[in-house]
Amino acid sequence: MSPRAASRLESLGFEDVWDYTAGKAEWSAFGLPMAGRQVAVVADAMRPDVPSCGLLEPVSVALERMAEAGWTQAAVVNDEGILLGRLRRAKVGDDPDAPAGRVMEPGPGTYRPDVPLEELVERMKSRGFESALITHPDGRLVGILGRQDAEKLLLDRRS
Amino acid sequence: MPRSASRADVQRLLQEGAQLLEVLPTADYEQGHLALAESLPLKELDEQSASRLDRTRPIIVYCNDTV
Repeated sequence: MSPRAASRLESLGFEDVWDYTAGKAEWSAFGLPMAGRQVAVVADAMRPDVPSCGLLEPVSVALERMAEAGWTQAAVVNDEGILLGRLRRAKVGDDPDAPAGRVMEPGPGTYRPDVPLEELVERMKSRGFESALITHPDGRLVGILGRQDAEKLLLDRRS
Repeated sequence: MPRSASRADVQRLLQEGAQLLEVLPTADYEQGHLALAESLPLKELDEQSASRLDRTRPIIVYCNDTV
């Protein structure tokens, strides 16, 4: 639809016309500013300060970052910030010097910033997890969603 | 010929003062739109409705995706 609109504007004499072909779907999926939305989405409640470490960093470093940030999981990312795996405090084994890449769970499930919050909270409840990693469509880690934060926001919106 | 804009282009153009138009029907716009976007549905786009646009500034149009 937007290519036709762009061409129509040119036919009406507008000279500097751009067509953002990826459109609302991409913009929203990247968690960029939206207006007029009535449904709360993950981006409204997620936190950007997700503990993370590189593949070669020792598990002990990841555990420290988890403790400092108050989460029970940490993301393992590459130099570009692409999510490669996850470390869970209860499942990192007993070697604090092991590189994160060796003990991580590869390919953890992630969610986009534009997923309706209520939908994800229901999924978190039914599967029994307290936090979820949030990535952009290109795989870049952008935050973490805590179930408590999400439930509080939904409650606030209802009242 | 209209130029294709990436997400980064849109952010840059908006900082430079571009106008942003959602060309989907009004009902879609009301369910959520890019911040700063105005609604100008394709079906209503004609000489008269376009007269409110500023010809001296770039215009970015978008819909959901390329559909």
